[in-house]
Amino acid sequence: MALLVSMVLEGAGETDPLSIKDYESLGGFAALRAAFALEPQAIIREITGAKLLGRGGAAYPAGKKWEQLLNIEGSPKYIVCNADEGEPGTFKDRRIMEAVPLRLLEGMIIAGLTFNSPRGFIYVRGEYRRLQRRLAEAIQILRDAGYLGERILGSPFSFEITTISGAGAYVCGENSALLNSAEGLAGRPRIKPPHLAEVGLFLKPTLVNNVESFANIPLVLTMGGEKFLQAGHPQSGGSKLVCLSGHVRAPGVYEVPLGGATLRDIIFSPQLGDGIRDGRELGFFHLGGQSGPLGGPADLDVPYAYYPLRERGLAVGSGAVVALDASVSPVEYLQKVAEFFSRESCGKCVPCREGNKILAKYLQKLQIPGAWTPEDERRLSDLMVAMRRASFCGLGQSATTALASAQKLFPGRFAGASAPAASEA
Amino acid sequence: MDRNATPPAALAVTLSIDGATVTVPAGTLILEAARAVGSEIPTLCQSDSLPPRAVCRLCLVECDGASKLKAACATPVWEGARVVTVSPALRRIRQTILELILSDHPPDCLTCPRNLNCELQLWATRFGIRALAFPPKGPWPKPIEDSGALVRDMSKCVKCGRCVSACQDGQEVGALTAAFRAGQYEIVTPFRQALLEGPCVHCGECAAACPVGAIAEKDESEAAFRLLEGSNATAAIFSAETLAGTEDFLGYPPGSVTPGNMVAALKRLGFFEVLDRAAFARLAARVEAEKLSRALEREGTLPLIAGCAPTFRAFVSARYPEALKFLSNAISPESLFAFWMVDRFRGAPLPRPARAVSFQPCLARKLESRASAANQKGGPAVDLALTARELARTLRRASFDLRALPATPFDPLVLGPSLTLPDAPAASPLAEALYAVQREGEKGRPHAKGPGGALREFYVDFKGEKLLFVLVFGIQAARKVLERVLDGSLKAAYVKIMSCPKGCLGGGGQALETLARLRMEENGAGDPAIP
Repeated sequence: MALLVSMVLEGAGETDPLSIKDYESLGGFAALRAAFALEPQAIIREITGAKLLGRGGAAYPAGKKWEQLLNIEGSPKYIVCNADEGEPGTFKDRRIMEAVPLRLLEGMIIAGLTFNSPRGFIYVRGEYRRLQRRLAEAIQILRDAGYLGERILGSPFSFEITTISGAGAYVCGENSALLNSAEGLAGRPRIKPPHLAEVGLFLKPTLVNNVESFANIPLVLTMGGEKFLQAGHPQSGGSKLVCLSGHVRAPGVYEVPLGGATLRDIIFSPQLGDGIRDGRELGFFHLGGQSGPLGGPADLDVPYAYYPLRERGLAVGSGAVVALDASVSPVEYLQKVAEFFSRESCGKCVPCREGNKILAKYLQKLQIPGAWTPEDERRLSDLMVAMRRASFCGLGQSATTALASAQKLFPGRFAGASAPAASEA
Repeated sequence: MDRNATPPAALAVTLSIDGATVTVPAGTLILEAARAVGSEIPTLCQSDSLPPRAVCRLCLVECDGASKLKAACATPVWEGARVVTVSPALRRIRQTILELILSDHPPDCLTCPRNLNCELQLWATRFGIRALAFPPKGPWPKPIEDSGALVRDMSKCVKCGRCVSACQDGQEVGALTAAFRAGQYEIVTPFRQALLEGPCVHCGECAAACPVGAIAEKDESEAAFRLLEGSNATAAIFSAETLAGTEDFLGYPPGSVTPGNMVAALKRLGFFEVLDRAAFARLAARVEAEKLSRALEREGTLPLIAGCAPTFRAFVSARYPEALKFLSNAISPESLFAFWMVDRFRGAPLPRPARAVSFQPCLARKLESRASAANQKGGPAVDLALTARELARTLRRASFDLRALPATPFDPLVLGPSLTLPDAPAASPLAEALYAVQREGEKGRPHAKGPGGALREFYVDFKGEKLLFVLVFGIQAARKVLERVLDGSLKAAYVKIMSCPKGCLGGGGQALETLARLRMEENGAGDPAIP
């Protein structure tokens, strides 16, 4: 298997991102045309067979999500694309929207067709101003060509897509907070149940998928679920865009087949990261964004795919891989992570709002020689459990993931090596 | 579809909670079902009759042996569920959460208005918290006193959002909201405008909802003592609702303290005369009857809409300015009392100076008093308007046994020859009808369920016609009525709006003990179990 593939990013950098002709020359819109001849169940069967896992970070099976929405009564159903891309170290959705926006839009139109939805919305990270304009342009071009708007390709199906700008809150990457923000409410997560599939945007049944997930949909339909699965890992089909950054010689977005590359390949292969800069050693790496775990040199040979990483206590998450050289102090690094969460908590629930503030203080204290006490040890452990198990949404629940993994990775460096935090339930 | 939709309650669901089997209607929340088997789950952000917020996370429970915990206040039961509400892991998590809340809370319990009646204090005590894991540091923001009725000491705020929910979901006023994020997350007025500048009706539902001492009435009981020290001609009025609150606050059984006991207590505190508020309410009804009979003769001015307090006008100005023309400039019993006091000692040599103090479970009254900067009209106004809570605290301080005080009759309301009441109206059947409606509004609707307020209709015979009087509880219901008035679909002669959803008895200035009692009565036996 090749280390790099060109599936989601096929045509990126080589074709005009806003040219329908260029996109069609690569097989673009064949999937949409095929979808018109398929029953919704048949479309979803392919996605389920493809084992396409949600690419935003939570890795929820896309087929299952679509199936659930299909089984829900009520109309209209809305299609929402999560393009908030707020995880630090993650910049692959940006690459898709920059280079192959039509693939994303095709995926959304297929979703619209599947659920007979009238409207799709793309919630784009506030800082991506230029991309918001590009998407709006791409939408207009598709409308002019009859791929969007009234009676698409002469069929009875009509569908519109609108972009919505985020305003800079990390928590709006959480789907229910995203929908609140899209509705004009404060970007804070909602109580579930009811689930978004039932009570979503403007209280209507709603599908929320990540940019990369939508961009994979045309591939699933053109390749067929089975071939898509074969192109990846037996438990998770297709490719993954990896956002490689940190102290590597060649940072960037790379598309690897799931299970077809190891972390060593990603960081050290001359085709990808090309090793650590300035002749230094790899110290550790951070996967999947700030909410993801840390891994070390001993983890390098794990195949980059959802299940193999999970078995090792690691995660694909958003696809971020931040490699750090041995000069970086993991405690200092994690203090920055904790400060990030203590800024980005939406503030409404106690464990996340208050816990992250105190977690950041503990990480400071860990750096003061001789300051750490067994009492701190016990308190930190309790705090981590409470934050992980009691926080309202994924933000607070995953804010301690990096620290918990670091305690195992660097026994001794974190006084918490013996803490039961990670093992309890 | 409702964001907080619950399934129809027709079906029964059987589940186990802490090993006990219970059958409850589908849609019952785990929290409610747990009460039925005697498991009290700690809560702070939850309040009955308002939508769940699930933000304090104290009520998390274990379900079906899964590691993922569920918020009992927001999760409906399901068939066959196995719920555990008490376990070592849950205890540690809850204790950590309490410690986290206390890490951002000033340790000033002794001087807090909610000392010994605080939900945070209650749970901290029950969890046996002796030392703070994360000691609070401050600096604390200063209390905001921007209304003359409410004080918002946000240093005490635990950000549970109950006040916001009471104001937005319960009353649909929208004077409070949550803003900012992370450590800056706080409960504010929109754009930090002063409460007096927004739609706030000063119902005090926020203060009544607050589990801690963050939002409370501006306590003027000390000022009342000073008033008594400087005057030997201070008169007071109180109502039956105030008496009920005082009883509950001081722990007397309902109905065991007579108005005569209370009159005696107030006189012992130094009040020169004590009158029945109801006497002035009757007078107010007569004034109102005059206005209504004039409105009945004119075209296009019905219904005459009367708010229970002038603050309702602020709300109508902010939200329904086109309805202002229907609004009556009703004079309150408190203002009439002040009128009477001015008249009472006119030209009299002694005793002086005459002062008037009213006691009512009402925060809006404070804005009508001379003590309030909001009252700039300079008309007759009581010197101080105290809530039932402040009266109860004052009496507690005096340590009387109210029931042992010799019953003393109310001082009579004597209308002197010089009393210049507006239009000096006489008693009439219309006035009696208006008084009856007013009284119903004061007595409240203790058994009506739900936060939305409610309507009651009265038909009144007047000159051979049947007039419709509508009594409205709460601003949420008032909004709907105003909309019906504006679109012409409500054919009423008179609309009385009580700002508080539970009337004066359940008013925002009522003793919290009374409010808790009313909630319990509202929830029936408090037991959702199907026998």
